[in-house]
Amino acid sequence: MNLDDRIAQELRACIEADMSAAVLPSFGALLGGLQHEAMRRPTARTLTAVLAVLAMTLMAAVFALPGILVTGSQVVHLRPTVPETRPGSYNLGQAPPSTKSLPPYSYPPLPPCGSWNGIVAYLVQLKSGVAEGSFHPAGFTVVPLTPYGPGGASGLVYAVPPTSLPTPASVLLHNPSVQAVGTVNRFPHEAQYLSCYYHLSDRPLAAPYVAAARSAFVHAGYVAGTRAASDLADYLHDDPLLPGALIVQVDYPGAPLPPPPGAPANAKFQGTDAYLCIENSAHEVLATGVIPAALA
Amino acid sequence: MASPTAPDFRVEELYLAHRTHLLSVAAAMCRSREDAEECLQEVFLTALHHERETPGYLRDPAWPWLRKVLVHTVIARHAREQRGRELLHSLLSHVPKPGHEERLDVLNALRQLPLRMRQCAALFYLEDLDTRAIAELMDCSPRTVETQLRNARKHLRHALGEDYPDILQQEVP
Repeated sequence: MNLDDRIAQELRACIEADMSAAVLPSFGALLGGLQHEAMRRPTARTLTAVLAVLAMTLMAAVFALPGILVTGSQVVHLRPTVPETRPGSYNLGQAPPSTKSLPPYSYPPLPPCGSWNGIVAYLVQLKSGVAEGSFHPAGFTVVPLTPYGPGGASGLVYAVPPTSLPTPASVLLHNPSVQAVGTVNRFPHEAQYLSCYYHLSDRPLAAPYVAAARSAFVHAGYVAGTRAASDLADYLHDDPLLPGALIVQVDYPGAPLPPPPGAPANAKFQGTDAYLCIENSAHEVLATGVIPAALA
Repeated sequence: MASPTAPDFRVEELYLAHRTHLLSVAAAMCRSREDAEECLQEVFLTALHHERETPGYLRDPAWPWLRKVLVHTVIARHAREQRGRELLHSLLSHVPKPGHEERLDVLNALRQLPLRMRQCAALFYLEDLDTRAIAELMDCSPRTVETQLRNARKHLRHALGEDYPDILQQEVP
């Protein structure tokens, strides 16, 4: 192992140990902090506002007024509607005046693996006494996770939000049955597990997780032993509720689907069955579940 | 407290999704975990201000923006601390130095480095960013980042050498 890898490995281990004592406030407490911040610095805020108004007046007098006097049509945009530096936006430059002057088309560079790491689902820890099967938040597709093995994790539900719901986390957080909610992102944060290959072939450290998951799915009766290794794709996600654990999703070919209207008569459509499990860093499976074919 | 609005929910989503990861990066950049926690809160308070002022401001992917704000927050906080320390120096004749008895692990070694070196190392080792990306984030040249990283490596190699003597034999790239 070279020096950089060793430093990175040690640093991550130290931070993980350090983070075990970290105190992250709830979002409600953060909102309270915002109000407190606003109340704490009224004088500073007023002073800043007065200074800003003075500066703007001075600038208008120096630059804008002569412009209006000379041209009679200058418009000063004090605040553009869309800030140029907003995150996620890309400066594509000035649009050409007509399609005739369009430059030759060129493909944009492929974004690096993991550059879109959006939320794909939520992992919900239910309050004790609430059965996984009885939790049905409106609009969500819920996958109850069955505890696996002697030290299995109970009360966990994998919830896929409807696309029409703008604030799924809040809906889940305000559900009386819920104890904690974490977001499941498309990719894991650890570079050693981050892959865009369907079988994670470029990440050897991911292989034991997938092997343990396949074995658990056979043991749980989801797939036959002969099909265990014939999966279509494997995915790893960070477990947001249990530090160090990963959510492993393995897709298998499912039953044939009815063809959609207008499809050629001889066309065949096949569904995908997806199974997921939660594994800790020792590759022990803690819970398993089945994602309905329509969502896989 | 006023009831949460749509911008608040948006920031809540981001807070749930990114707080742990950003806290890890902040912990490497700051001198203590407590500092890191406060920096993280400042980042999300800044996000709240922006989102409330311009709804839709924080578009996906928002984490590069959050990371940039974190880098700037750590710098601003460091400047504030520096001023506080100078004031303390003028008031007290003796300021106790941090104890050297404790074991010097790699995180403690990192936290003793100067701020820019610390930030470069944190972004390089924890965020897997290359020197160009770090330079863009920190508003400096890639050459500066390389120099900072080389110096950071030297210090961290020494700290690691206690547990891994073979490391001391390796050349610093």
